Amino acid sequence: MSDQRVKNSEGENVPKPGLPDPNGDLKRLKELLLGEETKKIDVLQEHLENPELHAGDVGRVLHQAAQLNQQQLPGALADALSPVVESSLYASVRKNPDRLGDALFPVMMPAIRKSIISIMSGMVQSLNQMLENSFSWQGLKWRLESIQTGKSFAEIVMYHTLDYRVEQVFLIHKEDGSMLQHVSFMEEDSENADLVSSMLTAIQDFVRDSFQVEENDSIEKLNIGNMVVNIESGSKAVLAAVVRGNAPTAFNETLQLCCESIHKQMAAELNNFDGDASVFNAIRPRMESCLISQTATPPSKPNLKAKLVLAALAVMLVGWTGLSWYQAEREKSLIQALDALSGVVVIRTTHEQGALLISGLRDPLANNADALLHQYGISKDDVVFMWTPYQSLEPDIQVKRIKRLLKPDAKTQIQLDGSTLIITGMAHRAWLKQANTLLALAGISEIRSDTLVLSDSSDYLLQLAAKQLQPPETVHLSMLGETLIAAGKASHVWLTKAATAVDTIAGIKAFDASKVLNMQSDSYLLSESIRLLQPPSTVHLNVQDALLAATGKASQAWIRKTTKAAALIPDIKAYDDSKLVDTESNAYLLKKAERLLKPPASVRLSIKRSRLTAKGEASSKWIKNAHKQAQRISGIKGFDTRHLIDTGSNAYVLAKIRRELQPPESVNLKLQNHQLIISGIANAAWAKRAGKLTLGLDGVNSVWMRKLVVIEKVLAPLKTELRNTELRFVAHSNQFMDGETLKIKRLAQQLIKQSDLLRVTQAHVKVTGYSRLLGGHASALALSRATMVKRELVKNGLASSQVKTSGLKTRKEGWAAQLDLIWSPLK
Amino acid sequence: MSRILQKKVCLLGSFAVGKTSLVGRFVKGLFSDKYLSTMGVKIDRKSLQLDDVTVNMMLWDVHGEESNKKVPAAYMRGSAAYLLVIDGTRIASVEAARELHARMKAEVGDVPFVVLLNKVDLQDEWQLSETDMTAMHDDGWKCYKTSALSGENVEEAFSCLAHQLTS
Repeated sequence: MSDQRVKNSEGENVPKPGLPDPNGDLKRLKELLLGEETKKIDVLQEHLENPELHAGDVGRVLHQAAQLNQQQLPGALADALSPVVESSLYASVRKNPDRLGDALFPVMMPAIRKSIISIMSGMVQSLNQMLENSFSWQGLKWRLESIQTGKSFAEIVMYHTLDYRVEQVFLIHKEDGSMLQHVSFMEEDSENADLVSSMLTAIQDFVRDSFQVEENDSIEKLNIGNMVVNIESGSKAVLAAVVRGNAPTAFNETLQLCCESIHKQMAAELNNFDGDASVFNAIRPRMESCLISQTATPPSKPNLKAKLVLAALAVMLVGWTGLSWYQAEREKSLIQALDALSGVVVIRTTHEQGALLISGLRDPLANNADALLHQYGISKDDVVFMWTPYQSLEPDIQVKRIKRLLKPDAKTQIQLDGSTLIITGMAHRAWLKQANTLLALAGISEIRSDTLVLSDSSDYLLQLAAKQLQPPETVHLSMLGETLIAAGKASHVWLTKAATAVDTIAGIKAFDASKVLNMQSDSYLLSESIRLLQPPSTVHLNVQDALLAATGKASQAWIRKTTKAAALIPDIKAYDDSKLVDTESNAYLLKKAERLLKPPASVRLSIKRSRLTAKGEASSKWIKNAHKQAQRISGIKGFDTRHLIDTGSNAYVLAKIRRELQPPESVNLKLQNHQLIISGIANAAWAKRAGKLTLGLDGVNSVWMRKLVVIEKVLAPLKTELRNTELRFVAHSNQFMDGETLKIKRLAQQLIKQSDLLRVTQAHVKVTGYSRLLGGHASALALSRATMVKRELVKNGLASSQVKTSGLKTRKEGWAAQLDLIWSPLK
Repeated sequence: MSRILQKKVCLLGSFAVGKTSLVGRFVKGLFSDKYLSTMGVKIDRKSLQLDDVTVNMMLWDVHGEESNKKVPAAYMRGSAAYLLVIDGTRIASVEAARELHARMKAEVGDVPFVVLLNKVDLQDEWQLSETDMTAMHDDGWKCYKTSALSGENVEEAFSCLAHQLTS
């Protein structure tokens, strides 16, 4: 069979061409029998060999395969995948940690939270134990409350600590500290919320930088007095809550949840934050849910009835005790008052059958005790007195006894001073005698009756008057017939009272007080003021209606002293020194200086710190005299004349003359021993005026003007000579005729002699050239001749500027140039 | 509708160049010649209205850079712009500003900044030469000669920065 086959170009055995192929038949047979199946096998083959199709097939069944694998061989797939997943995660974290962090954040936070809660509950447990073991007053109180309410002790403790309010919540961008959102209980808190946010971030940064902690460590709680700032950090933002009071641990959880939900909801906005916080308005409600508060309510009051009964009992007890105490105090006071009563001695007190039994001694002259019982509100029935009579030696009882014995008049007063009896007032001689006898019997050793007025004595009226009027020591009283005479000095009040009192004394018909000096009268006050103030002779004092006034002149020291002293003079109501001139005051001194110095109208005087200053203009004589006069004025310490211009000085006189004469600049004025020397150059008009004016000037005795050069006097003859000069030229030429240059030389010499004068007057020689020619050359020749003259003058010493030339056509013959002198008047 | 933008702006410079005084002048319009060294950071807010945008510049007045007290990177982070302050009477403050500029660039990248050459009122003590100024200009630094005492150019410099923040 092999010979029937050949190899084709690809090395496959194919049937030889021209021979029938048994395989071809087979193939056709196969196709007829298995055509459909072969195609399916081809498709399967394709799926197995093409990676993309294969991956698709596996992907469709992978999750089911994983499930089946987990059921059949638990853990096998996890074991197989772990190294792959681990290395993938490792690579991912290395590449971009944020991405995995963001992904894990929602998962991690609840896990961490749970862990913290479990730690916290453990801590609460231990706290509970600690509190249970504590014996503090607070602990005992809460324990009592726990028993009363039937709640656990830990619950009660928590209950009392739950008293707080979340006042503000900030959402802050973690990186730049921008305020993303802020909610608050009070509107006004919002004003600086952005600053607070930034500052909180800065504080976090500061603390992290200062204490070198890990990048992710941060402040979680800030305690400020009663306030706590709870800070919850997320991956992109920070949530800070300001809490007043003690927030429960559960609040931290609330804050965490809120932070997480904000991160979930606003993940994109947080990532792409560009400074515009308005997008975060959406989470306001979420944040507002954190603004919670809780107030501790007081526990219900158990056993109210019992408490009321106890309170009533307590009130009754207090009332009964109080009443007993009050009664005891009242009785004690009564006994003390009785004992203090004159003529009564309390010896013993007892209570018998509810009544107070008081026993002791009592003088029959002693006051009745009933009044005292009434005073202390004690009923007569409640008190039994058991008095034993005795004779008391207490002064007022003794006085009572003496009065009963002597029966004195109503005008007679009796006092006991130790064992001495003092009798005052008025009595009859006979009564006094009887009294002396009786008292000796009564055991009184001494009687004083020196102030007693005996109504039947000779100076009885004077004594009575002295008693009634009570004159001061400065007043002496005497009687002349039925007239009472008073002498000395007394106040107005006493005089008035005395006049009234005298009227009540029967037997005195008149009262003469003309010899009493009224201490409040103006004349008395004036004499007192003069005595006390001792004014200088320049001061005059006057008193009117108790008002003291001072006028005149006085030193400052006296004025000051008197202001104080006047206030101390009795009965002087006020002191007026407004019309008093202070001899050291500036105004006074100035006035005095003006009077003495007599300054002329051109002088102004002034005073400052005792220094006199004169300004303006004055003669030497006045200034000299003023210095002398100023020294004589007391109170002036110096005289300043620096700003005073002495009108007698040369400079002043000269300046005045200059003003008057107004000399030109070329004139010099000099003043020597009152002689005015005028020199320099001036025109005739000024010289004439100066000559006249100087005769009437102050300070000038004579004028010397010989050195003054008068322009006209010198230049006028020169001008005449120049004008009279004729210079001749050769016909039709600018050549001088013989001898003409000599003429020019002579003239030049004369001019040069006066060069100063020419300069001052700005004088120049005017040369006019002439020509007899007709035609175009005439003017040129005329000018040329004038120029020739100028050249000659300059050659002989004149300045070119001092010569001016011009040319004129003329028919005139014989001479051909003419000169003139021109000058300007001085200003 | 108008927008409100919050931007963190750092003031950086050597110590005693006048950062706090510049903020005081810009925010409150006041100047005090007392020198109080800033510890840590002090934050102020200045609102500027630019067309329909309100820019709230949160000015982080960071303590002055000293050799032993560097400005921490945390303060720089998140800045949208910054001001470099140089004391025109102290040439050494230029070098400090260059160093801070480099650090800021590394921390926050290319964000807008302006340079304030402060204390221009002290002309007698001025040390910055034309060469120094040209060098800064060549570096692309936008410089303002300012005085916190007189207020010269202070408003202009901050406003320039605000404009750059919104553009």
